[in-house]
Amino acid sequence: MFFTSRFTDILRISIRRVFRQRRRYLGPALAIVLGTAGLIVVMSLSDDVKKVFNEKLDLLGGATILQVYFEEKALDEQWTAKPRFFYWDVLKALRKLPGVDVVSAIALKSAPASVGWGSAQGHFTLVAVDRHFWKLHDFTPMAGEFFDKMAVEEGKRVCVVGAEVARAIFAREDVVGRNLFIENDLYRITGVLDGFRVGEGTRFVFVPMTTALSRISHMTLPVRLFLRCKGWDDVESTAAAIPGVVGDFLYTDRLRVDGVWGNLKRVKRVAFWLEVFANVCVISTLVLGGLGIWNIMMAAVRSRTREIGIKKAIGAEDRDILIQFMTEAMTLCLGAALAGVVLGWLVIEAVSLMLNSHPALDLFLRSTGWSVGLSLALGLGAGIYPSLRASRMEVAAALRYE
Amino acid sequence: MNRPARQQIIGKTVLHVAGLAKEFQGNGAMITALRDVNLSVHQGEMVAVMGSSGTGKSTLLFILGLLLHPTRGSYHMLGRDMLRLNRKAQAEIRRKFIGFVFQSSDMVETCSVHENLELPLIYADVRRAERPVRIDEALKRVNMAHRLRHPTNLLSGGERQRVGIARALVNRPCLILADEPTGQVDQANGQRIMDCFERIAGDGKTAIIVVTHDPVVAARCPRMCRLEDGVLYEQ
Repeated sequence: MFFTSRFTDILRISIRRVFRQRRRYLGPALAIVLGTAGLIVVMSLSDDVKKVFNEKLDLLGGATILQVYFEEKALDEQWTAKPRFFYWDVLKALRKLPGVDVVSAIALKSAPASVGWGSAQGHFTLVAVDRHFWKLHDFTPMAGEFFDKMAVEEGKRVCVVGAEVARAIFAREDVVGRNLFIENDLYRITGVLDGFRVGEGTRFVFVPMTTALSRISHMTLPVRLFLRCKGWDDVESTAAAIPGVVGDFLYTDRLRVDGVWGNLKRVKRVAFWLEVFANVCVISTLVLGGLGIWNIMMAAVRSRTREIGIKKAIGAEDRDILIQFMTEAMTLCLGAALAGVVLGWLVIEAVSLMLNSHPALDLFLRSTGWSVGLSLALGLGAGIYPSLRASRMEVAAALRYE
Repeated sequence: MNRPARQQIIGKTVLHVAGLAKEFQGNGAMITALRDVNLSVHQGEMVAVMGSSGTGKSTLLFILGLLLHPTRGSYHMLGRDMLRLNRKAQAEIRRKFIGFVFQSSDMVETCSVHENLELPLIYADVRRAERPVRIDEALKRVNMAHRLRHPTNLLSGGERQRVGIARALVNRPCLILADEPTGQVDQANGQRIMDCFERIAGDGKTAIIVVTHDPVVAARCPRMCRLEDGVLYEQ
């Protein structure tokens, strides 16, 4: 019981000393605050940041998007009755793959569709898409908006046209709200699609999948799937898993899974070095904080040599001095780490607002545990040598120190 | 100079050293700080050890306080052989039986008077409930009870020294070792400090050894020894 009381008293004295002399420790403490906060932010938000990069960065070139389809049969091959369409249960099963973020299916009219208004007529590719299509490709309408979930579910007669289609039929691009005949059926244009990333899509007409399947003749069932993976690290494993999942429902001979493998490789290389850079920055900050604490503890041992001598003269044992200095170092690191947790949490909240995504609580708690643990390990590492030096100091020499 | 009559020895022998010697290795040559020192001190005694600088006064005090190990000789305190103790046991003896008063009365500057006096009690595992009583008692013996919560860096030199004495007293030691306790205070404060020592020794339980080069201070001690070239002469 006495030892416990003595131990807690020494802890109390040491912690009190750190708080009384907090200005002296400000520099290294600040480094640990920043390092801890940085580590928490990097660990908690890296997945969300990757996801946003996936969706928003044109430069990635859709590196995390996979296309799944069946190859056309060769002319000399026998006709086969094997189904070549992706039914909804296939999509549902693919969505359950761990690395998959969004799955979208498209269906095509076997021949170009007749599209026109008044005297202006033309034949364009008709693409039937589900509600995930726009999100998956992160397309932004040049004008108007894409049709939403309700339009798809209710099979509304709405469409999105490529800019070239708009120019060909209406001789202008601002055609939102105008009507359009597709295969002699009247549709309302909700948006116009254009831009470098859209590619050939500027010559397409997009209609809701449900509408197309029920109203347009010679429309295939979904023939092509697009999958966006959660991150570039998930692309290869997801591509490898797809045939197995599809194989539970369909024959998978001629099944093709295509990715932008060259871009993916480049993206992964850049991401790897960025991640290394971010981690090196954070760890360096923490290590600098640790070195600061080591330095300041060494200076404290030097400047408090007489104090150590006096404490030993009045009865302190080596371990009492060791505990005192270790407690001071650990208190400093723990205090700074806790401040870093608060700062990290604030940064995460702010960044989450910008990314419109919030990391899972368990990820935040895990990163907090790691960061605080690392800070304490730094405190231990930085404090042990000065503390040992203080505890092993010869009393007579310490008392004669000027 | 008149010295007070030697006080009656009312207690048992606190310490006994015989044939004590201390040699240091310095600049390739052996330096003898103490040679063949013999000394016995009893409870209630107040002994002055005089000598000019470099004669080994502080070395003797450090050996008696178990802060240095002698090269030769024997040292017994309260009948126990002190030279056979390990560091841990020496620390235990220091906190239970020995009180130190230093020349500059070093205090832990970030702490108050109360916190400075609490330190030896913490190291000695004194119960928390008993500590205020001990601290109050020690401060009253040096007339400093009114400074209990005062920051030590705001005390005058004389006050600091008296707080230093209180810190030495707080564990109720049987031996107080004072190294030039009046060295950094004026004469009036020096006299007050010696008054404190006289009162402490007067209770007959505590022996005090005062190392000084000040004859006025030494004159206040009933027993005086002189160190010359490491040899202790009784006067």
